[in-house]
Amino acid sequence: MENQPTVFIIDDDDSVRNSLCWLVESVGLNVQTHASAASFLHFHFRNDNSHRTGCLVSDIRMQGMSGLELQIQLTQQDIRLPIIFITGHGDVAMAVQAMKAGAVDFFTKPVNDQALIECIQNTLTREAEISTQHALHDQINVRLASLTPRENQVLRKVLDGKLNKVIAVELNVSSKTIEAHRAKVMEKMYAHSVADLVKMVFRVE
Amino acid sequence: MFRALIESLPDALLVTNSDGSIYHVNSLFELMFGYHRNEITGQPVEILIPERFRKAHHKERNNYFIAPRVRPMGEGTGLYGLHKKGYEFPIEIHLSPLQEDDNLWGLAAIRDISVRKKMEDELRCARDELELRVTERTHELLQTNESLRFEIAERNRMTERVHQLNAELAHVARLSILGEMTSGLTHELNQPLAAISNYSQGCIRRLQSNNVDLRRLIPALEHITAEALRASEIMARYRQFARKEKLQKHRISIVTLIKKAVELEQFEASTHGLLLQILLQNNLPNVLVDEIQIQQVMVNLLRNAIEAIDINDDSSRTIFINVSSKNDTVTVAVEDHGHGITEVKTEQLFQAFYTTKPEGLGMGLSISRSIIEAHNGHLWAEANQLGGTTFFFTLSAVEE
Repeated sequence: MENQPTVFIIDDDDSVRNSLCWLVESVGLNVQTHASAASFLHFHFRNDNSHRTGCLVSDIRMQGMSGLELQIQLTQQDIRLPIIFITGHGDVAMAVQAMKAGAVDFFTKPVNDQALIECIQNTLTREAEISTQHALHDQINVRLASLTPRENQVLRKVLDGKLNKVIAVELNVSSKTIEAHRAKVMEKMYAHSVADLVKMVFRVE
Repeated sequence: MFRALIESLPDALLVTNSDGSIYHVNSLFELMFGYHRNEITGQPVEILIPERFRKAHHKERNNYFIAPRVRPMGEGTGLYGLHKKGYEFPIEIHLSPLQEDDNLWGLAAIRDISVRKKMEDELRCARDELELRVTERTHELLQTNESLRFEIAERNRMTERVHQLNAELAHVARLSILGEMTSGLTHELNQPLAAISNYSQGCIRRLQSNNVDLRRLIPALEHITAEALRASEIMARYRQFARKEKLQKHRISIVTLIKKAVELEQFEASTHGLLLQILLQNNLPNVLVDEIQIQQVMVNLLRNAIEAIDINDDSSRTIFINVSSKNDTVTVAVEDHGHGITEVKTEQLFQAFYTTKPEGLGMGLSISRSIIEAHNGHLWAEANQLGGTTFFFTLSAVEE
């Protein structure tokens, strides 16, 4: 359960919130509801829940902090959680503002369940991909950081497409030494080929 | 001794023989009838009676001596004495028989009542005149009354007409507010509809997944029922507000009244991110009012307050509704901390068509004031210490 993404539903109207929970749970998703934006933020920062992945489904107009204000807060605090907004009639202007600020999508009440659930599932899939990529990034960066300055120097020259002999001349060492460095780089970077190495480094830089 | 006694009596005294001849008189008698005792003694008593009564008296006298008895003064009225000079005067006579050995005497004590009678007559006259005057005056009063009644009826008809027009105006204003409230209504109605839709879609999806425990759907279906009821209650609330009716006063608790009115604007307030807070004094009384019209006043004041608060201003997100009562007067205060009104504007606010809102008709406060005044209350505004405006209105409390 811990690793499963969570759909956070935020709405100050009890029946709307509970009914959305009932709907989203019908496709087997993990749901958590909050009656206000403040309650969600409080939860998010408590007990280190911030590592949780998933997405937000939030009402735009709410008593206290509005959905738009929540969005601003999340951006300012660098919290990466995609938001799907649900609006009442005639809130198009607010919805546009939300979209500009990076919301995934918005739905008007009453929502089309098919569209909403597809949107939630797509968002979660994309989030999963993104987090896999993030994980990969992190991994590559960790591997890069493990290189000695000399190994790094060698790596840069390999990426420039230089042969061992050329590198050896440029660094004023023997070819054997370069070969040893190169083997170490390949090993530390878990690269099976030079092509692998190039892809990895370009992914993060 | 006997004669001295007779002389000292306060009335004129006359003693007759049983044949009706005068036997003895006292000096008061001489004074009253003008005869000296020497010239009257032996004369028949009828000499002292006006001609027209003599015959009847003669008969009566004979009967009296056959069955003598005491006849006190005051019994038998309309008696007159005849003075020697020939004029008559009203008298009262106390008659009593006097038996001495074989002799029977008649003793008559006579009192001249002309002064009393004159006073009585004058009194009667005065009374008659008074009665006449009273009758005349009563007649005049009746006439005045009649025209007054007509005038009152006329005035009542006009008042009734004014009330009717006011009620119609209030209704038009309500419809106009209702127009503004439509977006609130659709929003509010949208909530239960959205919930119903979500619950039923959730049910369908569970049913389609085939491995579902049907009993687990029951709570959701119960929620659907409850939400449908909620929707119809919302509709009823707005429909009642739009109803056209003439002024109908009912006894209602001021607390219930204010809570219902605030409910109408709760949604509008929440969409502006505002809180409506009701502060109630203990033991608030009932009022005799037209519920819908007072609701209308409340909706108006709350809308003004909501619109007065800038959506971006974080400091003043609460509107206070304060209800208190003192000396049979209930005061309702709607207090916002918005951008307020200046001193000059306070009274201008209540004029018809005065508005600071570009889309406003400017009738709200003017109609609200006439509604409150039709309930014998007052409606006024004051700038408050927190930079906003407080609107007050009063209503009379009624006994339990």
